[in-house]
Amino acid sequence: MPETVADTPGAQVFGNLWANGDFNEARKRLLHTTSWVQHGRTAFGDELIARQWMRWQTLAGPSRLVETLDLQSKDQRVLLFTLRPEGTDAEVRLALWTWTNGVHFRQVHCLVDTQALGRARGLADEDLIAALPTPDPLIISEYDQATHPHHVDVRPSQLARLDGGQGAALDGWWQLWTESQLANLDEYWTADADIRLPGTTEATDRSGLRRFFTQEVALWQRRACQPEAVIAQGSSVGVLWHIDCDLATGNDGAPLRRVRIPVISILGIDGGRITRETMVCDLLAVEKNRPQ
Amino acid sequence: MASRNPNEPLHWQTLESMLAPKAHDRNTLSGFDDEFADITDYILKITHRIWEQKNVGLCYDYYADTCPVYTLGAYSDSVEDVVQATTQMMATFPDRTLLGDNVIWSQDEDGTWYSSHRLTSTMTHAGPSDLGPPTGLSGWLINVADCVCENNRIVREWLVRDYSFLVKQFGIDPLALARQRAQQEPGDDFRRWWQEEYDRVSQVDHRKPLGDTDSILSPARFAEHWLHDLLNRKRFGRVSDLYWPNARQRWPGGRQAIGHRAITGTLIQWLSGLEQVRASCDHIASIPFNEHTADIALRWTLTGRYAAKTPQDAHLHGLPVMVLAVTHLRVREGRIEEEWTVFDEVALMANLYRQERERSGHA
Repeated sequence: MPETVADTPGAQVFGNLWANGDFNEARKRLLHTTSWVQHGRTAFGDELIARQWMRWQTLAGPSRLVETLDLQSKDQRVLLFTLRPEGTDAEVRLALWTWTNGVHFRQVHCLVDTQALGRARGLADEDLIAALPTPDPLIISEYDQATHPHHVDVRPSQLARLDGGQGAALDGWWQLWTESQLANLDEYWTADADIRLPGTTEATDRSGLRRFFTQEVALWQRRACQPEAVIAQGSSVGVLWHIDCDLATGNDGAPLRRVRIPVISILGIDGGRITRETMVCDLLAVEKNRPQ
Repeated sequence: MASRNPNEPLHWQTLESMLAPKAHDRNTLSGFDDEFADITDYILKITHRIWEQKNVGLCYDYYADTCPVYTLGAYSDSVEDVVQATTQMMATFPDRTLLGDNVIWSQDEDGTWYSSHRLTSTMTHAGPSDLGPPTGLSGWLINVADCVCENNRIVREWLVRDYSFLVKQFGIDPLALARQRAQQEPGDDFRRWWQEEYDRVSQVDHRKPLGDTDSILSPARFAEHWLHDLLNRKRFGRVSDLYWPNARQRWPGGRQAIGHRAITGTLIQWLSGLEQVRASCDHIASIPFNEHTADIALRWTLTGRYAAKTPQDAHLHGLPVMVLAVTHLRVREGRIEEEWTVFDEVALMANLYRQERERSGHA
């Protein structure tokens, strides 16, 4: 279980937003210039940001807040919410990566695990995709990361002050994503690590992570992973990162499509090994941007 | 010089505090109305009054009667044109809201004030225009207005906006819109300005190194290196010197790059569409963002020849291209943390299509 359970005002405000639909308290924490990115769509201003919040209320229905995890640095903050939609036993995760001055939130990247939400609510992926907003236009540059020397790559451990054990474990975790280094699972994850993956409503272990990687992530071709920000607090480390990759378009012989998958990962690291990991990404929003 | 408290950058201000009176420093803002505390205050307030409060007629008070306004799609120099264009924009996008992200300013050698105002504009496509019937869709874009101000008036303006990003959100093909706009006659004044600028920038010595040996550069010198090393000299290996490894870069049309290789990829791919590139650094301003970080505004012009990549655009190959752009850089401890580069790709392509049409005798 996460050790950092939040009871700070910001966490309460956004927890109440998702669980109880308290829009007004959340509005007070935003500036008129705040950007709110959710499902790949950027919203500005009361009306359009509230439309994003309403989308969660429409799709999830009344929900109970099960758990909140809150990590903070000087000007950034990550909030991970676990919610249980009414009438289900399933847990759905939603993560906010924010830039804040402690009073207001200037930028918010909100990732909703839409696939898990669909499973919890018994909604078909196609119906959920249709209900999501059209994402912002996005042009992803190519760099030929498949063959280029990796001297330009940056590791998440370079973006925050970590103790030695944390840094090594974070590098071991990163190698899984960047180099498909499956052998690191035994070396850097504990045997009983509590792992929560996108698209699922239940916890798994490192064998489940291995399955997820070999059966789903392996289909994401020409993967280029880029860490964007890291927050370390106590034994927890939050990483905002993304994967640029090629996805098949679903038609035989059709060209691959380059997509960007934003991810928020929260790791618990003790004694140089990963004891828990939560990965949140909005796979259906990515799918929305992928022609069939 | 009048300056804002560096501990209170615009970035974190509420609308109320942004528009509230601030401590006056009347010694430096001479010739302006007493209500304006500094040049940032002036720009924010007049923008709010004209756009948010819909007082379009205040343009008569805050623009000189003859005020050249340069964009890549049109040229005007009459305040009447400014009023008409603003009214038309409000009709097409009645709920258009301008969110002031930053004002980067300088007081230049001739005593005039220069402000580079970056805004996020949000709007619903609710009225008819050359975009076609209203789609009812909402969209947003970044635009930058660079203004020269003196005696309470804007006397010269360069306006750039990420129009291709906006129209894509309305389901409009930017190239189709550019072809449509190419049918419009831009006027002799625009043609004259375009040619003069093209000739000027084409003279830039793009191969000569800037030659600094200091590792710590002034903000202005840093900006010159950014432009010259990357765009003129194409030294893409310099990206790792100039940017933090998790730097964010936004370019027109939805190009979003984070990190060295994505930024390098964006620059290479965009520049590969042009030959004989010459880039001119036309104005630089900088202000502190916080103790360790500076905000830099750089207005630049780039010329070259279109390099076709596909049979579909082969007919444009070799035609002259000009880009009017503004880049805002947030530089922390000598490296870029965040970049916003803005220019109008629709206008750029419309100019190309127009030239092609005229070359082939269909004028």
